[in-house]
Amino acid sequence: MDIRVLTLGDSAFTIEFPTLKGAFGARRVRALRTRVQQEVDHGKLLGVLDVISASRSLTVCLDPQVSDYELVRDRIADLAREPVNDVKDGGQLWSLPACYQGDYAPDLENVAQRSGLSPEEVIDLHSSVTYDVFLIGFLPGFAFLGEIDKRLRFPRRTSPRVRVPAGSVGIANEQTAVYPWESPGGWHLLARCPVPFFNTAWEQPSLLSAGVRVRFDPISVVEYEKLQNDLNSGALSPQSFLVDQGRG
Amino acid sequence: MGASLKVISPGILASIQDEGRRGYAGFGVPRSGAADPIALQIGNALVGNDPFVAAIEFRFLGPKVVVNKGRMRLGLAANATAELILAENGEKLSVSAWQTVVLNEGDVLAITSLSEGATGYLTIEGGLDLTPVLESCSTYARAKLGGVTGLPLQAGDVVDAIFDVPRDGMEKIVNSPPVLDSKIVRVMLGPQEDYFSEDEIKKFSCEAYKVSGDVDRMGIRMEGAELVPLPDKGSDLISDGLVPGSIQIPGSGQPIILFVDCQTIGGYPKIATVITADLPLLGQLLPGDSIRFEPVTLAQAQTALREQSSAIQCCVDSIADYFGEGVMDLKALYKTNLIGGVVDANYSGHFPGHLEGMSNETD
Repeated sequence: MDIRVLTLGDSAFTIEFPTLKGAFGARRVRALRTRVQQEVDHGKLLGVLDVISASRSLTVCLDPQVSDYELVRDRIADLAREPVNDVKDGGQLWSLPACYQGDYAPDLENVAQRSGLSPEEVIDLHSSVTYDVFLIGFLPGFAFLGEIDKRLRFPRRTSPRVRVPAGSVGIANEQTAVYPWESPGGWHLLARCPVPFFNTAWEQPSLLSAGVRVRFDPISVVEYEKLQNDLNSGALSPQSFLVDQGRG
Repeated sequence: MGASLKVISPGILASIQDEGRRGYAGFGVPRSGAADPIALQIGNALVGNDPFVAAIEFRFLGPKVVVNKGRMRLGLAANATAELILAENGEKLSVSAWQTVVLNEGDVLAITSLSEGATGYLTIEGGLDLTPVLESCSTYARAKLGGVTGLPLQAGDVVDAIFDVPRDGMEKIVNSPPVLDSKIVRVMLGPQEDYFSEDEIKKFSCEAYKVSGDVDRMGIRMEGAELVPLPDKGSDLISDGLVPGSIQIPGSGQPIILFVDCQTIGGYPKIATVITADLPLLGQLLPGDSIRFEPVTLAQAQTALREQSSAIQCCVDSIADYFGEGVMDLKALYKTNLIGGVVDANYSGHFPGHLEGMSNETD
């Protein structure tokens, strides 16, 4: 496998797969991350503090007081060059409810008009694809998913919204995402998802992680409100939307 | 129940910080933590704490606090003085930079603006009674993590200490606090140095850059020679991982040094990364300061980090009992003949009021 090892100061480096992109890159990165985690769990790579997945690269942050930088870097570069048996299969699969109606879908009409489709066709195109989580970033728990249908690809809004409600499902360029927090944002908002995406009380604070797969399941406003109540009251666990454990 | 401190005025951007979060960057959670971890470590040593116990970080202008319950000992880890206003009689005592002071219930500590640097700490003997969030008490405001409320300190916020009364013992001072005179920020080139021609790299490492007014815990925007990526590369790349100290070159060509609260991933080319040993220096940069970036090798960066550990140890070793003003009312002590009156030969001239044989009682 063709790789590049990039220096990110004296306590981090990035392994890049320059020829990969999209879902295939994300899965190759996930495979490397799993190998790195295995080595860390076996106490082989001392001082690894953080591992950050991007769509075609993995960044490893070290504790410079503990790690032998060159040793760890060279070992992980070797792992990256190892052939991976099968990266076509995905990891966990989540089926996330999303309401594409009314106030929950402020940009649906606009996206339909721009793409020359009906709102129903837009919903169908967005919810019929199983997406890969390319990376988590921008905000804690913010998952970048791809790739969306070519007919739905538009640049970000020229004037970003000051306030995008938590749970908003947006699209921009070839990606889609759910805002885990209320925040400013420039994506076109197609739906709202009632499932919480980040909670510091969870063992893994982010519901999703790089390399898992996600699809959206259209629901009505009534179903949205019921799910939101059940999730808030604890009657329903976010884990119930994990439909396939995958192969890790 | 421990003593507690109430914020009367937070100054500018005061927040609770410790060493920051490790192990959560993969979930998009920034590292956060002290903008100047050296000052935090020495400030904690000053009050007898472990190096990275959470403290109140303040930037540019210090906060004003009052002890609203119990008694507590604080360490002023900053190039700033403070005024201690006694609840008992309204008397005002001056507190030196880098010393400890005990506050009784109702006593007010008003920290002045920093005389040098941009960041200081108020450390609390015994530490703060906070519940860590993702293994850290560091405040990360964008996701409301850590601190007291998840946000920077506001007037009226109450910060609880673990101790209810201070330990017995003398007040302390750091006789050799860290020196903040370096105008050179050492970097390692990469990860995207190949986006820039040799001439542009030379410009980056020879020209001086000025710190703009846009300085916060997310990033430090610099002003100086414009850096233009190679025409076939451009200013956009497929996003990859970031660390505090990454130097991004956005479309404007003006470098942004990403800092402790920076995002974990970004899409601008990064010409270089500040070495670990020089990250604390970034926390002390003020708008208008002029610096130069100096590329070094991995071996040089590692040597710099080892040398820095020794330098921190020297500062910690210089912590000694303090007999100066502010800690106690000297006039009253003279009147009651509590003072032995021998000038410490080691520090004579350093502190005119430096005397031996004084009672340990400070109030």
